[in-house]
Amino acid sequence: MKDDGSTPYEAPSVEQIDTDGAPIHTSPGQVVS
Amino acid sequence: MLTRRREESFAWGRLRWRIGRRPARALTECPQRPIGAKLELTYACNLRCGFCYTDSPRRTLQRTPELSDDEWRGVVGETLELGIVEAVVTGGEPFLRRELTLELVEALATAGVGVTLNTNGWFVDEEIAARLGALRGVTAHVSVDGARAGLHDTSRGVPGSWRRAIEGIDHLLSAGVGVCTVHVVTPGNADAVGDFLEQMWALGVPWVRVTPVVVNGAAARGGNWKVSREDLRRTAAEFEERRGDAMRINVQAATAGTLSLQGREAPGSFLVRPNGDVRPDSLRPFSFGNAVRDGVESCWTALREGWDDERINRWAAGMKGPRDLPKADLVAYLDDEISIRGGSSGPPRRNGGGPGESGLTTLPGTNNDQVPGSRDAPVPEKTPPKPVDPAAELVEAEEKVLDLAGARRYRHAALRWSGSERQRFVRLANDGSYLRLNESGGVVMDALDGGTLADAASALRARYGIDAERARQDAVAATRDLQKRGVVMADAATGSFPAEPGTTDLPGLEPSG
Repeated sequence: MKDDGSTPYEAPSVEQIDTDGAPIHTSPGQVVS
Repeated sequence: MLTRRREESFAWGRLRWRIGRRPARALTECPQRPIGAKLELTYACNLRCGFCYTDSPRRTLQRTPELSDDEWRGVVGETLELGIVEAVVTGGEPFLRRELTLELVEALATAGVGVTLNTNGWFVDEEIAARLGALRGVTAHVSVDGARAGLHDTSRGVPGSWRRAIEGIDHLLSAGVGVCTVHVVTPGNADAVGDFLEQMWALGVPWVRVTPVVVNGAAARGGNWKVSREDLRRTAAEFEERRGDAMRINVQAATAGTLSLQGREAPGSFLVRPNGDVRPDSLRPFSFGNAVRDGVESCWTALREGWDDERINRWAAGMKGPRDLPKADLVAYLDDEISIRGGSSGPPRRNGGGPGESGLTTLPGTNNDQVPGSRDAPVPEKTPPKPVDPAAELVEAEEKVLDLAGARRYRHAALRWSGSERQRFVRLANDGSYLRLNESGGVVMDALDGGTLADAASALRARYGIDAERARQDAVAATRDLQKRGVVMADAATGSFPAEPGTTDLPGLEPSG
């Protein structure tokens, strides 16, 4: 966060997530990446 | 150097076959029913490429007769009944027979056949794009020989052809048609391939094929066509390092892989010439009957029985590599085919493609009295483009491409997303795959839900206060990634692009021009 509360610029990122067949959300609070 | 020698050595290809290192998809016997068909709907072309592998400029000048619309309908009907899964529709320039081409592509695609349509893009307008975009499994392979008009128009021999090709590609992409641009590389345009790749990426093209000249047809009359495949591969690798994988680049391998295996690797497809004669493919100038006179099935049976005929084997064995193609006694498309079984081997019976029937055009200087089939036959003169400053022309070309790409409207595919502002998770309904986007990726994604690439750039500027050029560059990159992953598609598209670009030729990736 910058001082003014806005997010510093990062170039757009579009990333495919390989879940190896599992759902993306395998259990509460756990995200497969 | 060693790699190039091996790649261009027919003996190396034969040795690899003998020791069992065969191409993964190689057939050792002809299937009972053909897998694919290449259909050359017309000899004629409106361009004058000096390397044209079908020697179309000469044929155009001669007004070589070809099958009528009804005869082509019959050939395609028989071909579908016989059973194919893929087809290449080509010419000449197929859109010189506009309605016939569209009708046949529609018939093939509706039957579930994957169709590659080869075109120079000149005649591709919004109506053609919309009709193709309404079909499934059709990709258009459009010839573009450089990042600016001077390069392409010199290569293609007609001023204005670069602009028409680029505008045609934009129409196709806007209608959701997958486009593979095919760049024929010569010593005159090889230095600018990197600029070309950048431009195709900015335009939104999903596939690019870069190919040196295959020295058949017009190219076999002479000229310096030699370029380095290693350099082309290096240029492609540098681009992929810089821009990622949103645009797939194929640098065509040498022709050794196919001709070196004559008599060993069996054909799975056939080619129909504009006069109906049936050949195995673009490289082998031997006919196996005429699709109209003998019927398609009869020709396929003849090809199954005679694909390893001793006359073809001897012809291929007389060459050490692709460089011997123009030195052979028989040169594909420059000389008339030799009939292995009952082909008409020469001019067809009547002119079915005259003006008024299929919209064929006549180039200035057309001479109806020329005898076809001669190596020394006259060919149309090229019209050189006006001299320009290359650097200024490149800037102008880049602006045109960005204007076209920036105005294209997109929409979301079927999806749901969740997460937070800074990290977004997307699930695509079509295939169930997952994506993760950062905050600015989400900004672009939102802008493309009914908006344009220019809207996405504006949204990045408004949100982050970055300069216009960076916003545009980043919006281009993100849009390409989002389209590649299936998150967005052109607003008029009926679906995402096919997974594969199809092939310019059958079998495999052989001549282009």
